[in-house]
Amino acid sequence: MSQKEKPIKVLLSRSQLDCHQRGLVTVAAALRDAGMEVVYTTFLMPEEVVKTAVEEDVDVIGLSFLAWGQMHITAEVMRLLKERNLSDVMVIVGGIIRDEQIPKLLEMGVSRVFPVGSSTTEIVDYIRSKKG
Amino acid sequence: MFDKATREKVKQIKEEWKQEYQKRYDDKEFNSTTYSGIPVKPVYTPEDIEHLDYKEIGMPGIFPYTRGLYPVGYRAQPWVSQQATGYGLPEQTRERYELLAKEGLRGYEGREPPYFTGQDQAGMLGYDADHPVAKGWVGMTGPSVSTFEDFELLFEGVDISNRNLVLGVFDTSPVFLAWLVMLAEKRGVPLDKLHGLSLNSFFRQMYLEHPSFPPSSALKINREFIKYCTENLPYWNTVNFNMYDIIECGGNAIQELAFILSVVIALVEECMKVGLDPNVFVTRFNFHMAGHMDFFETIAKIRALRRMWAKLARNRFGCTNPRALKAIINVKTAGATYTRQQPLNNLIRGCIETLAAVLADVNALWTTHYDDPLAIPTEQAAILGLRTQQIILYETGIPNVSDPLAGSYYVEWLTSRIEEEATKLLQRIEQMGGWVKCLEAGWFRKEIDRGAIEWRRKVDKGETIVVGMNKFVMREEQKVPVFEYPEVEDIAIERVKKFKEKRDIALTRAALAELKEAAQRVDRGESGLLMPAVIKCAKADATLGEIMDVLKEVFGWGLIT
Repeated sequence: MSQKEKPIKVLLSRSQLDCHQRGLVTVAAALRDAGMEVVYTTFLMPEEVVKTAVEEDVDVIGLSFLAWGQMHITAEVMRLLKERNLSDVMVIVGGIIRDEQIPKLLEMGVSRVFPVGSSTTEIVDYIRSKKG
Repeated sequence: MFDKATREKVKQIKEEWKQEYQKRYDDKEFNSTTYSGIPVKPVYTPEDIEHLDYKEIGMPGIFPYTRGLYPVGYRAQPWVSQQATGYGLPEQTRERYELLAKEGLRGYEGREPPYFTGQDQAGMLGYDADHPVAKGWVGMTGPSVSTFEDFELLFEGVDISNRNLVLGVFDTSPVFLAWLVMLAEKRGVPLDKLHGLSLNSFFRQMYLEHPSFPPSSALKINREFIKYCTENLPYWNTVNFNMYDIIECGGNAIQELAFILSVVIALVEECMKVGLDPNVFVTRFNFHMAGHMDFFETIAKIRALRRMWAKLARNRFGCTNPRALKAIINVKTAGATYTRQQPLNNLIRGCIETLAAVLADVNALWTTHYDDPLAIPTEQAAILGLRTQQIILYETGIPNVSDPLAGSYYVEWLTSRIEEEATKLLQRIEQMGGWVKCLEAGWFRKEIDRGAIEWRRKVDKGETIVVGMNKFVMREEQKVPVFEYPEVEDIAIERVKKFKEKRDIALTRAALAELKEAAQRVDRGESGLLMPAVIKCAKADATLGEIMDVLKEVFGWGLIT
């Protein structure tokens, strides 16, 4: 794979209602170590995620859920992305996600789900394989 | 600790050991470190603790309480089982909790089992169920509680005068307490008959990325909260100093102790400024620690906290009341050590972590359910958490003897070592300006995040082994039942709307306006005004969100980092 001049830009975001930041902080560090540009935010409403994604012109959105919210918020984010013709922005989801929710998230257009315990190497490799 | 003859003998036998060592291993070294990075040798001897004064170890129930708070440990008073759980509507949470009570949840001697309640994620941040931000979150990881009617449902049929009540909420603690006061008055229960605890982690931005009041405002609000409780609810525990989440978010045992003690110092000094007597209000503090997988470090840090606290309360706050010198400690087994992979393995982790807490004579215990990385517990998982404690209590004989590991060269050395390191770190925090300054600068989070990132790197490289996650991985995962949330959002929203429709809105508005004025005066330095004004709002049918909005407006609200 050839080195792109511009690094891959990833928005990592989580709801302020969910107090678990450890996973996303860890992923942010791993992506930065891998040479990606990371924008890290928190939000109250799903609209804020899409707004930041547009402003920052990111290639990837990573959403983290450890205390629920994954189905409602992801569905909203996917709908808003489609509405703004941003379907080329890749969305990945991580956290405490139930097995039976994974196919549903993929059906919404999520590219891949990384449940808790996934290695950061896996996440880095996946993003590179899709956007590198 | 030891006389000259013993020391000579130790030296002599150690010399023999050294020869054996060299014969067998040559110059090979077997050093390691604890979870918190304290270097550990392969064996400990009296030499490692000979500098210790026996008074530092002492006896249970005797200052500095290293060995426990009472002359006899669990033989006289077994630990309180403080399992928590919650979801859906208030009545659903209550049913789940009463199931645990029926299955043998233990309270303090002579009292009914505890009753541990909380609220959902939206409520924790002061949003009513009908707020747009709450959409998708209602009844998740806690019951939806927006109004006094919801609160009343949570306690329907619960004898509030004979149970240890835990109001498991953070910045909404003043509102929950106001509702409890209303409920007690309605039922004719005198306020001095209320026993329990507000979790009240007003300081959680030091480890969590979770909106809150700015630290200097949080201190003022809690000074008010403590003043009200001291004067009206003498048996109400006002703050649970949460150290658990420090290690849970990536910190270590030394940070657990030093970071939290810096909060305690800030709060005690704030309370003393308005003339509150530490000999009284300090007796109502609790500490919440993590039972972690580093077995001996868990035991040592619990013993070290009791000793550090006793010295701090006496030497720094000038406390003389023995109750003020005793750190009441409740332990929860560490959710972050549990894995989604092979989830049944978590039953074993929970058992080991519970055992460490028991061996360190803690006062209350919450064994995290094995399915924690999957969801909130199923009934079966919740009961298994409780059974873990019951098996240790009734079948092992371990609780027969107080602080049974006292005198272990390793445990005593490690206890002292953790105390020394934590004392040094606490001094550093104070040199940097103390809790408020360090929190505002984002220093705590930076330290804790570094730990989280470092841990993950080690796991990804295989330097730290987590069974089932990065070693002994199975392709076919164990299938276990996962809790299904009931759909409650519509019902919860409907309840809030109905509550708002039938109230006298003029009365509510007037009370909220009064609260705003009281909060502004408290913010300017007056004291004793906030809780009465919150209670007045609660009685005037203001909702959780309405009361919290006023407090947020006056005191500020948001994320620090």
